[in-house]
Amino acid sequence: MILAIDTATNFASLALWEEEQLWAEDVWYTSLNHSVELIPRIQRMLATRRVAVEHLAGIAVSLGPGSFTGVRAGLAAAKGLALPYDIPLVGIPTLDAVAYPFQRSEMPVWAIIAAGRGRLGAACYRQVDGAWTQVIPSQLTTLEKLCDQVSSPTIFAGEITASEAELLRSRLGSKAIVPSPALRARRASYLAELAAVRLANHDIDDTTTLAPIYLQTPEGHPLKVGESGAGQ
Amino acid sequence: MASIFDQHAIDFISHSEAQTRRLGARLGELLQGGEVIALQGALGSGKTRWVQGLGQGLQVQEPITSPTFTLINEYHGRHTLYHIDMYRITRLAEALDLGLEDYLYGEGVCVIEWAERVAAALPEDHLWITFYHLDETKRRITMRATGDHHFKLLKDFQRLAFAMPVRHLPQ
Repeated sequence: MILAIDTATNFASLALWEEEQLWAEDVWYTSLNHSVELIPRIQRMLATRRVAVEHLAGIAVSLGPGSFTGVRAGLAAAKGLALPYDIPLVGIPTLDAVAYPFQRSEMPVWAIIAAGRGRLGAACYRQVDGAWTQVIPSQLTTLEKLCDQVSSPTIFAGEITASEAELLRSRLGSKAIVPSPALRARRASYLAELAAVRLANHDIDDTTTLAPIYLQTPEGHPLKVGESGAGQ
Repeated sequence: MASIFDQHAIDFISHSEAQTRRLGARLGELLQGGEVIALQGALGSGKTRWVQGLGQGLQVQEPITSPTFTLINEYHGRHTLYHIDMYRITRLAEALDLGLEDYLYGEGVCVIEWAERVAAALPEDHLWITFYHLDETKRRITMRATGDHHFKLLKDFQRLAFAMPVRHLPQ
């Protein structure tokens, strides 16, 4: 059984997943309160299947980009559960999970997380020679700037508010494909399935050194935290 | 003649701690969440007193104390108030390592003392308040808004707090 933890943004999610079966999923909204809410929800979820932590086959965790506090809360919890029992840990970039359900699409996908006050974290994915590929790496941007880059019908997935969906439709017309809120939501079960592939390949991360991914502006603005060794 | 005045800034004198607090409360009453209010001024110039008033205007029940050593205090009123003090911060990277951006770009109200130390990290749309020590009880206070949201806030504050127009700062 894989436990997937995604607290990368204010929309948090947990899933309990086993080969060919999703047992439980929890998606909720929290305002900078991940560290308080996460562990009780994990306990409740494990209890629904009477799974003890030490019997988990793997733990998947969302690495960001996202909320500084949220990403760290999730990563700390995942490491804290994995380390004592030597449970394999797999870190997945948050936007990979956003794009995951659309990976059979012929169209490019902009995967989006909200970064506050109209700022977005976004990366673009598409099929390249039959392989699902991140073609534009995650960056700090705005919806207007994303629109400027769209030349063909494109799927917009992830954290898009109602007014942002409206803006996409009015700016891009039929080129904006915006799935319904439920269909575009980021879910921890996607994280679990991405992690399952890596676990099957014994491609696991080092529990002690696995670090968050931070957003950067294309211009390399002060958001870059690396200087002081963040995430260590 | 309008061009010689800066419509985005106001300037006034507070004659006592009680008045500073009252003016802070007027501003607090107008807050809707999502505001970023930067405070600049020497020790004892009225910054914390202002925040105490602001908390009152936000209907915060707990006493507000300086977060100099805790760096960030959180209060729950009409909106969540994050009272941030950057006095002990020497480099911007230290502040970002605290997760400062989650607060600055969040849904609550952020009030930052010693904001000049993290000016580069502030959202473009914010309110900047500077406190000048004039004598034992008197303080000069200037408020400057950048961005539409805080400009409107400043105009509303001006209407609510002062019966008569205050003088605008020359640009």
